[in-house]
Amino acid sequence: MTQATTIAATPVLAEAGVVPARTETRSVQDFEASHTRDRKRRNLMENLTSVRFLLPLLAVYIIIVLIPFLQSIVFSLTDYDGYDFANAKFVGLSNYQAIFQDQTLLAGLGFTLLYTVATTVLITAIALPLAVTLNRKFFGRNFARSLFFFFSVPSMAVLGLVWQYIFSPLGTGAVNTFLGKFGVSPVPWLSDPALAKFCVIFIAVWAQVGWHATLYLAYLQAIPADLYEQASVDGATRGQQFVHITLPQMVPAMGVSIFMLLTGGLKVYDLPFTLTTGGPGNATYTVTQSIIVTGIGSGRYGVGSALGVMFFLCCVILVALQQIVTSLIEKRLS
Amino acid sequence: MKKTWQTIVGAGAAIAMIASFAGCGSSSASGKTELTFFANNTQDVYKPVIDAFEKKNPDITIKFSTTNGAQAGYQQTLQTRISGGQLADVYVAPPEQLSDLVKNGVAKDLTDEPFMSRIGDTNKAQASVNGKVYAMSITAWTNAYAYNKDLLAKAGYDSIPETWDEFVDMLKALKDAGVEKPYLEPKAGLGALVEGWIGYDSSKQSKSIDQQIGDGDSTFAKSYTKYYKQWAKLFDAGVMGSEVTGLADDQVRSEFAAGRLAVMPSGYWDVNTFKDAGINFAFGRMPMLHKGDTPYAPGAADSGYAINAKIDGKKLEAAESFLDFLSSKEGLKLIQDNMGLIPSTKNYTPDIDATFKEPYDLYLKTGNVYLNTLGWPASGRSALRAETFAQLQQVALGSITPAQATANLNTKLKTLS
Repeated sequence: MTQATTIAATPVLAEAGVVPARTETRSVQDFEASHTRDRKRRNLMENLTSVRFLLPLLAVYIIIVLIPFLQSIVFSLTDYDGYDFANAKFVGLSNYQAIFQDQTLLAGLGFTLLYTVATTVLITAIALPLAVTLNRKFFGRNFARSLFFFFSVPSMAVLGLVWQYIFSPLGTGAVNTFLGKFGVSPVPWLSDPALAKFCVIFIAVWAQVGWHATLYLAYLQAIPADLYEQASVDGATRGQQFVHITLPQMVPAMGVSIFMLLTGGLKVYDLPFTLTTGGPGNATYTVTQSIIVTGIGSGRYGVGSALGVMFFLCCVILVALQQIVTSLIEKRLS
Repeated sequence: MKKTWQTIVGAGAAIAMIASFAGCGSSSASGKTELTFFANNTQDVYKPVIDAFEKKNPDITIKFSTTNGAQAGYQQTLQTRISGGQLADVYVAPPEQLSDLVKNGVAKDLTDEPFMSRIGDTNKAQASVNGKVYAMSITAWTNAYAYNKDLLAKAGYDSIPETWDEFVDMLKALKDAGVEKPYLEPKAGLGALVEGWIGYDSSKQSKSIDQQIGDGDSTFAKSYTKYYKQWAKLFDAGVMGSEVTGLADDQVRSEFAAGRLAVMPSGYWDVNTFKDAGINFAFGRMPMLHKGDTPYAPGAADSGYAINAKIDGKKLEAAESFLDFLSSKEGLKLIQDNMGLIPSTKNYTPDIDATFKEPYDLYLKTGNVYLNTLGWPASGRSALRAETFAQLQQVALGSITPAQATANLNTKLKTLS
C-alpha cells in the first residue's frame, strides 16, 4: 500500500514543481532497494551466525546418523559379514526378500507396533492428568514430582532384570507371594504370552509416565494464569478449564511427547530383552531384537542393514504422519 | 572481530566433538611392551592371572578390555573391533567365529608353537581350520544335573537314574513325596540334555547329526523330532510346567540354592554358589534315552586364545609369552581358581571339587561332550540357537507340537542360509 501510494503521488509532486519527478522516484526506489538489501544481508549474517553454532550438532548428526545410515544402505545390498567390506559381494535386493520370509521378524513387528501404540496412548492418557495434579499446590508436591521422575532414571535394561523377579511366574515371585496371602494361585506373569505382553507394556508405562508428566509440567507452567482467572470469573468448572484451556495449550507438548514415545517405542529392545528375552515363544520379540540377533549378531550385516533400512523408512512414515496430525490439530485449535 | 570469534567458537566446538570420537586411540607405556588383551570375562577374574604374568614378565604390561553381555555380545564386539581395525593383540576366539577370523587373516597359525604341545586333541580339533590350529583352548565345559540330596532322599533316591524314563519316574515320585518343584530348566536352556542324546547318536555316525543338517543331508524335522518328543514327556507327566518359559538362569539357580528345587541343569561354574548356599547337593549324570547308551552331555572345549596375525616383533614375542603362561601349570591353576573353568590340557590335572566328580569322569575325562551349534552353518548359529529355545517354549506352552517345532526350525534355517 505504501509503495503504491508513493508511486502514484510522485507525478503529482513533480507537476507541482515540489521535486523533480525522475530524481524523486529514483531516490525512493534506491532507498527501498538499499533497505531491502540491508535487511537481506542482516538476515543472511544472522543465519550464518546460527549455522556456525549449529556446526557441532550438525557434525554429530552427520557422523552418528547420516554416515551410518548411508553405510547401512550400501551394506544392505551386499553379503557383508562384518569383518572386511572388501570381501563383500553385491547381492542386489536379496537381503530385503529374506526379511519378508522370516516369521520371527513378522512376529516381532506385531509386538513392536502393539508396544508402540499401547505405551503412547497409555502414557499420554496418564501423564497429562498427572502433570495437572502435580501442578497444583499440595503438601509434599516437590517430593511427589521427584518420585514420579525418579522412575525414569534407571535404565530399562536394569528395570527388566529387577522386574523379572517381581513378575516371576513362580509362587516365590514378589507379586505372586503377595497374591498368595489372599489365597490366589501363582499367576504365570512372564510365562503366558498375553500376560508377558501386558507386563512389558505395564513396566514401560510405569517407568516413563513420570518423565512425560515432567515434560507436560514444564509446558503447563507456561500457560498464563489470567486465562484460568478469567474462566473462573466466567463460571467455568475445573473440567471445562481443562478441556478448553489446558488441553489446547498442551497440544505442542503432546506433539513432542508423542513423537518421543513413538520413536522410542518403535526401536524398543532393552526392556523386553532383559525381562522376557522376547518370549515366551516370540510373544514379546521386537524388530530391533531381530536386527541384532538375526542380522548383526549372526554376522549377517547385509540382512541386518536391510532390516535397519526398512525399519527406518517405516519409522519416518509413521513419525511424519504423527507430525502432520499434530500440526493439523494445532492449526485447528489456534 | 566479533564474527571471527563466533566462527572460531563454532568451528572449535565442532572439531572438539569430532576429536572426542577419535580419542579412542592406543597408547603405549614407555620402556615396556604393551600387549592389548580382549576377553569375554570380567576384569576381576582375569586380574590375578594378568598380575602373575606381569610379575614374571616385568618388561610387558597387559592392557585388558572386555565387553558387557553374554557370549553373543562378545562376538558382536569382536566383529566390530575387527571391522574397525581395533583388534587386540591377544583375544578370545569363539569357535563359532573361528573360520571367519581365519578367512579374514586376523588369527595367527599356532600349530607349531611350543606351548601347543600341552593342548589336548579335542581342544585342538575345535580350534582348527583346514588342519591348522588357530586358537589355544585350555579349558572345557560340560553340563550336568545338580541335585539336592535331601529332596531326592524324600523319594528314596540318592543319585540321578541312568535313563530318561527312569528320571521322569523319579521326578513323579518326588512330586508325590511333596517336593513342589522336582525339576526346572531355564527358558534359554530348555531341552539342554537333548544335545547329549544327539551327541551319542552322532558318535555312531561318520558325520554328526547337526553337521548333516547344516550340510543339507538331513533336516531338523527328520532328526530332532524324536528327541523333542522325549523331552516333552516332562510336561505330559506333569513334572515340569509351562512356567519355565518365563524363568531366567538366575531364577532357576536361586530356587535350587534356596533348597526348593530338586534337580536342575547346571555346570562346574555353579559349585561355589551352591556351596555358599549351604545346601546338601551334588552333580550327576544327564540320563540317556536307553540303558547302555554311552553317557554324553552338552559341552565343548572352551573358546581359545588367539594372537592377532597382524602383530610382529616384540609384541608378537610378548603375545606368545602370554599364551605360554596361560597354558602353564601356574596359569591354569589361576584360571581354574578365579574363573571356575576346568583345565583340560595334557600338562595339568585339575583338582576337581568332590561334588562334580561324576560328571567330570563321565564327560570331560572321556571327551563325551557335544554342542549342536558347531555343526550348523557359521552364519546364523546364534539366531538358530535362540530359535530352538523359542520353539521349545511354545512346546512347553502347548501351543505347538514337537513336530511343528522342528518344522519351524527348518523354515528358520532356510531363511539363514
